[in-house]
Amino acid sequence: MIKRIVSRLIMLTVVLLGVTLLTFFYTSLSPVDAGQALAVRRYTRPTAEQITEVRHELGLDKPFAQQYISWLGKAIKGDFGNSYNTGKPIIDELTASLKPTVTLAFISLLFTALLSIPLGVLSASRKGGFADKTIYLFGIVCMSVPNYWIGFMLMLVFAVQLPLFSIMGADDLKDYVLPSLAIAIPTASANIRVFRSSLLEGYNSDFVMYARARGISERKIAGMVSRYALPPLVTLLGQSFGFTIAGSAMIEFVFSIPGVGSMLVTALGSRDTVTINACVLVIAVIFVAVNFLAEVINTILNPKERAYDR
Amino acid sequence: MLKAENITKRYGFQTAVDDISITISDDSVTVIVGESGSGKSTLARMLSYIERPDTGRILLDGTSIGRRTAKATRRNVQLVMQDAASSLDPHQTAEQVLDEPLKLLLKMGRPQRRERISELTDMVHFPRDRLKNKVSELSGGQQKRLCIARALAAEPQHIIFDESFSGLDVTLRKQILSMLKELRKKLHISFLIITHDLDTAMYMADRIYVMRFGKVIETLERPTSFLDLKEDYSKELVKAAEYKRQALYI
Repeated sequence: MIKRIVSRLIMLTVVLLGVTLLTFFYTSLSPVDAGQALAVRRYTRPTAEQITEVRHELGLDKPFAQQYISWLGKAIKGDFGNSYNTGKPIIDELTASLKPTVTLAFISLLFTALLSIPLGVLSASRKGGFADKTIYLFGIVCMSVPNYWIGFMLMLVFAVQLPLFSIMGADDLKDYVLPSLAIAIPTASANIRVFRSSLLEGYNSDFVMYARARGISERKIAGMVSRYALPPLVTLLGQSFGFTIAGSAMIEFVFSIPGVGSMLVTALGSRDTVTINACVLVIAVIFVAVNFLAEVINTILNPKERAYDR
Repeated sequence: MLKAENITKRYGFQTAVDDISITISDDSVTVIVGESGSGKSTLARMLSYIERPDTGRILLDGTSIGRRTAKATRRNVQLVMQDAASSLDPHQTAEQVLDEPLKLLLKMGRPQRRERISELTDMVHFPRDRLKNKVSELSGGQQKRLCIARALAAEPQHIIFDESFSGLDVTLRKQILSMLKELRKKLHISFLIITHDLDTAMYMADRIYVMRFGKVIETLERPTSFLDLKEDYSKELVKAAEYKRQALYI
């Protein structure tokens, strides 16, 4: 298992390097010159010399490879430079923005699990029945609408008509309930289907049939089947956490949460390439780390995976 | 004696088993042969109380099996499935697999169970040093031996082997069949072997039933040669087996 973890870590490091290289390359392809953009912000109507000076200051006059290596070397030490937009150190802005995004991702993960597991069990145990069909129909509807629309509806009902939650901000945990639900509902709808299928596969497997034939209690059988069905759900939950970190911009925008998503959108709008690169790197690291963690949990949960390692 | 009397099983419009009556005598080997989809496995599941027949009844020592006699049936009729790996809980160790029926069906204490597990592993030539391994870490042959040991654990009167030897290489199949012959002589258990392999049938059987489309079309007592089979379909099976044998040599 340790061998597998080490080889996977090496592979993930290569993936992260690839992500940074691609992001750096794509931002360099932008038709808007970051040096010019900063010069305009600094001097309003900059001269050619002023633009050249800013470009030199930012190191944009150096070859691509040199720029990338220099940026990567500093990024590894946590130094992403200063934002072209605000002039403040990016690491400080990122640290401040990460807290609400990670909180949002954790709470939505919790809601996703709380919805997926019991509803998946209910759907599988009442296969073809009223509960199963209702969950299926509700799931299809929730998967078909964008999460920000669900966010608006939740806001309308639970913040406007029933003033239980605040409309905007992220001051305390209560403020995260509606945005987290907006992310969790469509995610859980997809997860319920997967968990239901895994449970049904478990219930129909030979070892469960054999256990029943030996008179093993249904409670014990439910435990056996859950252990069998959990690994795919763990993978999905890990991925959904990563997707929330990477794709929470719309929900953060709807609920006015100052997270990484909002920071990235602002940076994209103002061609703040250093902030874009820093945000993408941090998001990629979290995404890869969470998926890696899900894989480790799966290896622990699934003895077949462990056997494969030997 | 395990007896099925006029049992029928339908799945929707499909009749898997159609009014079958068979007898599995004590201390004997009964073999059911037939092509895929002939209803052999459904019959095995009904005889081992995993499924219930729609009509007809199954008798164990003259008593109809049902809810009241479930415990006795579970102990006295054991099933060894085709795919050993999928019939074992991947989260259990080999020791836990053998421990469960001893605890559940025989209500043995811990020291007795430990002793019995050692006996069982010796009986089926399962390596004792693999007892602490998860079943998914065992080889195919070891998983098969473990399934046989699990079936033997409850000290049953009858063991049903549902295509349990298909997919094994020739050497391993021969080893396991020889081991089963020895075990039967020693323990006086009856075996019901469900197979589509006529060589296995001829090697093991005291009685052969040939099944087709959910019905028994021929019964052969004390078979000595394939030539004893009279029905056209049975002869076709013999031809197919012969063709397979020749193909192996080519």
